[in-house]
Amino acid sequence: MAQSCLRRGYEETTVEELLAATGLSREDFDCHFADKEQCAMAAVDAILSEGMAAVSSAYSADTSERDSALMTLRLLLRLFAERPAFARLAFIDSRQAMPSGGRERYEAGFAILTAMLDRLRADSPGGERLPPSAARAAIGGGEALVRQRLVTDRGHQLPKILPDLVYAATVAFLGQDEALRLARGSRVLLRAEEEFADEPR
Amino acid sequence: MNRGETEIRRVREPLIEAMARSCMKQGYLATDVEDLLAEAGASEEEFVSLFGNKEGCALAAVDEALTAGISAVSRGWSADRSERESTLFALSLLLRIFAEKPEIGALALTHSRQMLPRSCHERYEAGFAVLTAMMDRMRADDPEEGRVPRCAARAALGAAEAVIRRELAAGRASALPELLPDLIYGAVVPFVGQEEALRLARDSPRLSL
Repeated sequence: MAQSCLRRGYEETTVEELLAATGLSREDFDCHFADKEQCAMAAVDAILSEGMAAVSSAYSADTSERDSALMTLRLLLRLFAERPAFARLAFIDSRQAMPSGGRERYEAGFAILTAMLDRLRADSPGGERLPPSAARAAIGGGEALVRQRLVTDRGHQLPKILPDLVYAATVAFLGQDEALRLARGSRVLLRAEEEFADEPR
Repeated sequence: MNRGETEIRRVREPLIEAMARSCMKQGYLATDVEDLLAEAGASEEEFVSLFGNKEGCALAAVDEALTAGISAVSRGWSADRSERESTLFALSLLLRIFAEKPEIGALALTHSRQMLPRSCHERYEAGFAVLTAMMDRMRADDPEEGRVPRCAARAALGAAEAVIRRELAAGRASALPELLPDLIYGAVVPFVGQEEALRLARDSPRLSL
């Protein structure tokens, strides 16, 4: 389902094609899903569950709000890069191309991320003066950057946008200098990861 | 233009408006051309002559929405104003348009992205790219050249869009102009930093005059 939505969009996807691609029978499909919509919802749920698991693993009592937010972004980008079809389903198709159930799931995921990012407010020099919508706006900004990669089939490059995403997500809370410092830190981290991956085993 | 063509053009705008309203109310897929014809007082021949099919009508509606948005943004830019002030004026004008005609905002920001056919999505991306390019000019204002990341304009637009879209989805379009300070903060903070963004947001009521 996720692969078909990536290639042709939800509307154009038919159950018959899914059966042909997976080698399953209509009975197998009916046993698990009532219809195409329920199958698509299961795919959206799968990526949202993995996303939430990544977010939860990033938050711990030993980590500051700031580090937790950065770790969350890093893990989410990796997850989306590994599963671009699912990412596109969650970010793009679930919002409007699918029936309302998909949109509700998307909104629930957006609300959780917004609430988590809003905790940076306590760290902010702007404090009480920040607009109430700061976290929603910051997530919207980050989403625009992720979406750009997904719609141009460059989902595999997502981990590389970590410094940009860190800047977009934190500048409203922490100010320009600190957001730039964090973005630089994440660039160093990315380089170290690349060097580690290139090392002969 | 002969009399027949003039008659057909007469129903173009009502048909486009009916399409925009229907998309906002029930979505593109559930929109029925018969309902549009009844609402606009047009015949099927006129519809086909103007748009070809339902997708063509949706495309024309998206074009109208984007034209309204881009023209507001262009009015905001003037040789007498700085890049920053121009951006703020443009935001203020956009909010007013969306508040007066929420179906325009919904088409431009929500439906054109995914719900409508791919051709409409391309229009949306083109509009987004124009706005991004205009906003990107604020990077030149930074005293330390090259410090603000190149992604700042796209992120700032995405931020403003997320806030506007929530209000439209919640049926609170008429209250959009009141959100101007919040939007200004989100749109300019990547370029000018926190204190200056807060100051610009505080001063924003003068843009509504």
